[in-house]
Amino acid sequence: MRIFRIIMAVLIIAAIIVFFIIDSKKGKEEYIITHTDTDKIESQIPKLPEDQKAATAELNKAKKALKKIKPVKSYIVIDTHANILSLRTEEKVLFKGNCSTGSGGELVDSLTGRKWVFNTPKGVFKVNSKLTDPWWRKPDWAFLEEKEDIPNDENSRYDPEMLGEYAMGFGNGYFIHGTIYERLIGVSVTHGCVRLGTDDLKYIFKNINIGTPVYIF
Amino acid sequence: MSKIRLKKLSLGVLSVASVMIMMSCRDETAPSTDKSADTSDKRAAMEEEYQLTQLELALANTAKSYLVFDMPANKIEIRLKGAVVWEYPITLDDDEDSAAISAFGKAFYGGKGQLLRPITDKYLFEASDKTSDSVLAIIADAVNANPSLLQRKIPEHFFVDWGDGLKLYIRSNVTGTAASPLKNTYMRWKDKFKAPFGETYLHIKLEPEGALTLYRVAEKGYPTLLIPKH
Repeated sequence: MRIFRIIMAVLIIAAIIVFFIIDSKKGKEEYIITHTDTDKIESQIPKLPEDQKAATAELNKAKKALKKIKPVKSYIVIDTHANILSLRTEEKVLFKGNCSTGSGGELVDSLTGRKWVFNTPKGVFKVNSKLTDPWWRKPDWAFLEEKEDIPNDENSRYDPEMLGEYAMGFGNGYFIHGTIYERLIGVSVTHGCVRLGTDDLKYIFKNINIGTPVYIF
Repeated sequence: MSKIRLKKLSLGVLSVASVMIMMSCRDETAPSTDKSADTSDKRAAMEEEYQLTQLELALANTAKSYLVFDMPANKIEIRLKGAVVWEYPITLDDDEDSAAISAFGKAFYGGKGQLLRPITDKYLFEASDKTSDSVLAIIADAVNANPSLLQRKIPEHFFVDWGDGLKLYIRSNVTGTAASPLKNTYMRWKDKFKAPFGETYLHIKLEPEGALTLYRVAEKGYPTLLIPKH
């Protein structure tokens, strides 16, 4: 009985050790694979010149280049993960509110094979239009989604209510706009545009200009 | 004056003189050592600042966001094209030792002065659904979308791993449920077992919405930049 207990204990300890060895090796493999890109970035960094004057000039040049990329005034930030829109400067947040961003859903037109992916684009954009009382021109996918025929009459595409009181375009047909479904704000339900509640939309519209950068991540 | 007394006196004068000469020599050499040490320190700081700027330039020239540990400002940030898009102060979890932040920074920096590391792993212990399943089912039906795409998990507790035993544990004040209680137990015991062998863990607190964003961006390979505090 005692020998059996000892054997069992040894076996359990051996199993734990083997488990940890396998686990640690697995971690190292992943580590090597995922390190490639950052290693590449690091290897591409030029060396600072030996001469002190030249080194100072090179450092200042790099700092200037980085400063040039950064926004000078206020900018809009859209966090698609938490569905939060903020207006901020480098130093402080001026406004923060809930928004709705793209659902990530897909739609395929079975007749033509056309495909739409409803994502909010990520990257840096600029506000390129500011519209008051905007009308929505319904794209083809809006009819397909409702299982309706795509109309031949252009006038049948316009909806004066859907976008709320204001809309701010940031390229490729994407807008920050209002909604008639205010209860869905905070949920990722849009087709790629960014929806805001009435009061928040008004604040943003009044406090940004054409050219204001829009950072989406 | 006896000869012996004179001898003693001259020996005394000699020894005082030699000590003074030695002292003056030391005074002359000391500043030059300090100066060269100071110059090499300045050069090292300059090289590090240059490397940091170049690294951020390289990251800012991509269209993707990256994580930044700003140790002098005690902040954790997400930046996109050099601009801050998400930021929180590093707030220690209740049981965490205040020295843990600098230990984490030092471990990240390592012996080689590493300023950039990719995330190698993450693990979610407990989380809560942002929208209840029943409400989400109604919304998904109304907007013709898959409910799983619309759902957001607000983490209660998770960790982000940079390899080399470097982990950041994040806790938020939501009450979540465990996806796998058995795996959670294993992960917790594994870390406790490894802790004495050179692992560096930092336990912090975040607001739920901050934790949600950090958990979602922390994919494998996500670049993380360290602004060290020396």
